[in-house]
Amino acid sequence: MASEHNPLTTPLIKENPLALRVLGLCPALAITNSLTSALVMSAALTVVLIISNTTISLVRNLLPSSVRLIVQITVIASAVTVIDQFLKAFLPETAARLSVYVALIITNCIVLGRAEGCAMKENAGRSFLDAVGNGAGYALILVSVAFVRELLGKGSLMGYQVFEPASQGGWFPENALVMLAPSAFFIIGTLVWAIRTWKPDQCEKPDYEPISLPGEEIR
Amino acid sequence: MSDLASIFLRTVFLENLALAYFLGMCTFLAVSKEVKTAMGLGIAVIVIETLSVPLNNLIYNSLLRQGALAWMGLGQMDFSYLGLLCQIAVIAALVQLLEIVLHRFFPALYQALGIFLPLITVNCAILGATLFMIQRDYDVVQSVAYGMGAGFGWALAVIAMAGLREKLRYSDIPAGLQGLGIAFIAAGLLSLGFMGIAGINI
Amino acid sequence: MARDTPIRALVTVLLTAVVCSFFVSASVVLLRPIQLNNELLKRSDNVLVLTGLIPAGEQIGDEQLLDLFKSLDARVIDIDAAAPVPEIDPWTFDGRAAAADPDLSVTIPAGEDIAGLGRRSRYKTLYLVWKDGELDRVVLPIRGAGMWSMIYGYVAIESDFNTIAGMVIYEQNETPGLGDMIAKPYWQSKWVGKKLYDAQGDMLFRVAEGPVQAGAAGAEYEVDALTGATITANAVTALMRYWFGPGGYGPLLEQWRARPPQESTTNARETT
Repeated sequence: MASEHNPLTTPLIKENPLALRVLGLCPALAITNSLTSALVMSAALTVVLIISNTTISLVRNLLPSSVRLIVQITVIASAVTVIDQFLKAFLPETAARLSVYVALIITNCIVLGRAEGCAMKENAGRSFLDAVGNGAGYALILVSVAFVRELLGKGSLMGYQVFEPASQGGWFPENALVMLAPSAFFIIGTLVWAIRTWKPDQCEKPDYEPISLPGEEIR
Repeated sequence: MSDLASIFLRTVFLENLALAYFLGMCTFLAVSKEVKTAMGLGIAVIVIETLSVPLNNLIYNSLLRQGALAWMGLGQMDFSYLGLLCQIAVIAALVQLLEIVLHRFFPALYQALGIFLPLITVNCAILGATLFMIQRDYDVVQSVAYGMGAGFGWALAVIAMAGLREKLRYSDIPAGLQGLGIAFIAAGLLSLGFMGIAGINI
Repeated sequence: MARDTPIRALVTVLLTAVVCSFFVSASVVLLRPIQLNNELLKRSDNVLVLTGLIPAGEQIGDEQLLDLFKSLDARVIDIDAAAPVPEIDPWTFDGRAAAADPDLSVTIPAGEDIAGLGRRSRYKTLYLVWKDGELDRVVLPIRGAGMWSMIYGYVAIESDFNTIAGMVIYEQNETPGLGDMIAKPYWQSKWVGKKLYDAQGDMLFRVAEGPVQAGAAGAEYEVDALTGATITANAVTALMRYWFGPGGYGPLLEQWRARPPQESTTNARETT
């Protein structure tokens, strides 16, 4: 079991929570038009993951199975409320931009998924590392998408103007499509394509194979 | 009355929870492989949304928000920070109830939905609709319209996506894009299409 | 996993509830003062940027910002009566919350509600800026329904109660890259020097359909259009027309043009 599953590095590419397991998508699409938002959201999710994984792992042997899910959700919801308060106090601008998506970390499949999948089975140490690893994997995708979207869309990174936009007398044509949300779908689709071309074992098998007709070759 | 119809129509088409706000994506992509499963889940989501949004509205406005407890003489108390905990608890309870009802009266649907039924609890679209309702400060009747609209909109998106993906099954797609990759791109195009309706004043 | 008995389940649940509530409540109570301070700082910043009291390009600290803000002449006015309401403390009055309070607000009749507000607070806090005993400008809060959600901002009017000295939009959710230009200082700076009313008192201000040619007829009432954001632009025109029309500050500004307000030192808050 401890063979090649390193809880810290495996979730980065091999078992990326977003690109392979398709968890935690909602904020990834909505808030990635700004690199700052993506960084803060990744940080918030990682902190919640760490709190939730470690706490649940510490009490996993004391939880009766009938109330397991309720206790997990309560712990996660409390952690998110506390993080939300911290963000509103110390990063009010970004908190306003993230609006409901911080609260939606409660329903983020990654958090509950790791609580069930790891924290209930492993000790606190491994759960902690697993939380950090999954948070990092999530951050990797989020930051990549946000980097592309903010740079190509507004010509800036973290608010700092890198290319001079045409609307303010520069050369860079601001790309409104990239700023809009559907582009996140396209970018993540392309990222998934890239990852699966690199690691072909992650590819899904097609539902139907074209049948070859006798005497003809498939194009 | 037209105000309610306007809220409903806006939420289904212009402010679609799945395609404009990207809520409930995990289930959206997982369930949209077959139209039949998508329809079953869509109906379940409509029911939960229509019930949870007004219920959460009642609880929030009569117990939690600032000044809500004035009838108890505790007008200065502001328990809105307990909002998230209460709302997720209400949603979990409603889903549990729905499970029991389905198991008893509609066992075929219960079997078809399988694992996806309890997963509705952590569907961002459900909690998201409640959060938006609070942000926009709707009253109870408006919440019903909004909840129904949110559910219908999400169901519409998931069924449309399922229709698309059923057709995609026969396409020759590069190995890396097979399944998840092409689903994302198709979803992006669907979302772009819905954006074209934006700005219409209903 | 522990043995699953009802007693253990109940005890676990209660314990979880107590521990979690403790942490949540502790964080809320400890962080609330910081959050309230942030809100005050944000409001100060939004208003002060229009007053012309901060020298251009200079960065001032939070303490100084708050002191400067509290030294402004803030007055709560009754919109319908077009008169100041000295009984309400301008520093604690929350105009935004008042719009939802049935005692402090009115429903706008459907035919007049061009800005899509629904309800309007009866009272609003205005900020008067005095320079050497003379009124320099007035800062007024405005809001209106944008394409996606409510737009909030401030407009500063000069002492002729017609020329715009500046404007700022501090809260909006318009389409990124298109409608959200309204929040960019670049576009907001085009408002400086534009007029609201013509000589007859008709409200002529609007966001144009294209670029405004300086010197063309009516150019002093128009601001450059927003490319690809017609709905947002129309929303801005609508909210300006509402708030500076007969349903908003129109009557008050008319009154002040006839009889300008007097500086009253009792309205500025003591900075202690």
